[in-house]
Amino acid sequence: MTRPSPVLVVTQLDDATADLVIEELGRRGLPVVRLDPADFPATVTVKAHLDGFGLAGELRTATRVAALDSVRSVYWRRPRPYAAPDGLPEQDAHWCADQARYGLGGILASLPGAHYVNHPWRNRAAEYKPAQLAAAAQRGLHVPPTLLTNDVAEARRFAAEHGPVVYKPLYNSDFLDPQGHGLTVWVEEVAPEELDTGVGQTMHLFQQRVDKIADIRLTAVGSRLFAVRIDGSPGLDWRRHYDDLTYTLVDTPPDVAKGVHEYLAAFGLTYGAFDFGLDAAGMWHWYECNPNGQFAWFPDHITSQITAAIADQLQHPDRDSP
Amino acid sequence: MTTLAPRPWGLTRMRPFPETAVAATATVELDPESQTGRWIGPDGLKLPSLERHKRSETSSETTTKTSADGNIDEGSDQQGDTD
Repeated sequence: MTRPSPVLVVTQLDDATADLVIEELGRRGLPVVRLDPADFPATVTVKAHLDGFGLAGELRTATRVAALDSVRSVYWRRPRPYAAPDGLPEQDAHWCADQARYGLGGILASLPGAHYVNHPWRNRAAEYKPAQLAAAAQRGLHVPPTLLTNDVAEARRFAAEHGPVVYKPLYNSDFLDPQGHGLTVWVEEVAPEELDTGVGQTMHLFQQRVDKIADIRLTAVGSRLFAVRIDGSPGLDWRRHYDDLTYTLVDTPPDVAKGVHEYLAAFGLTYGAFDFGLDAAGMWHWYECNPNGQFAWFPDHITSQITAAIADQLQHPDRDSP
Repeated sequence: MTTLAPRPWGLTRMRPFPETAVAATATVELDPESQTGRWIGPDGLKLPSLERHKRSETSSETTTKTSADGNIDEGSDQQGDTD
């Protein structure tokens, strides 16, 4: 019997969510090669060459070997940044890391015949909020009025006309307070008088606050949709209140399901974590889609279904691929 | 005299993470057979799976939990370099 071709899991060592999927693949008898690109070149060795069908050769980690032309599927999770060997001057190290990103990163993105959940470049494209907003609106998803601007007068006008409004960053960078503790921006209302010339310093996104009765996290895996209603958040942003939340699987309205599938197809995604606000009339208001969102924080009966759906995608690359 | 540039407005909205999100450190090593992480607590013992999720640092402070609008759970890119 031929050994089944492996699933390549690209992530850092510290990733309990990937562990769940890897355990499921193990139960199904599928070999897994786990790779953190940051381990290159320290403990990862690559030999790639071109043949008539594309890249061939091998990738060797500290514990496994994968033939580049026989990877069944790729689960792209949370790799650490590309790295350079220790002990190099800073400029040389940056140069090495760039070579690794475009070299190893290019190889990992070009494995012949592999099914990507998701492809890293598709993820990257799908992380731009203006592109997300436009794609969602074009597919009939109900997007709240939104303004992107560096013009404080325009921001004030928008708040006056559409208020109450919230502010959301375009991208979440690591940010530390002077003591070294991580900070982030939570979704909170913006009073128009709070806006000042600091708005002119970069791009800012303001959005009408949805009058919601609950939140919905819809995790899409191929054609399968897992919509979870989230109740109990005492504040606007449920991420601050995990201990207060309850989770219920709900059906996705057909028009939302259609919009979500078209959205995924537009970005070339197999997986997406969509956030909605649910209003009293039952309308789903689209907030965003995180192409690589977490799911392992749900109760086990939900997490296990999503885990199985992802394992299905990785096990059967030909089934249901976009 | 130097004029101080106005503070970018979005940065005035930065807030700490909830206390509960911060977990004590654990070390992780690769189990060569299963290719999963092997989680070792400060006492040198293997951590149960629930604790793993609390401690997982795929984002610097909040674990396997997620975000409605941001990168706490963001995907590919917390560290700005994942493609």
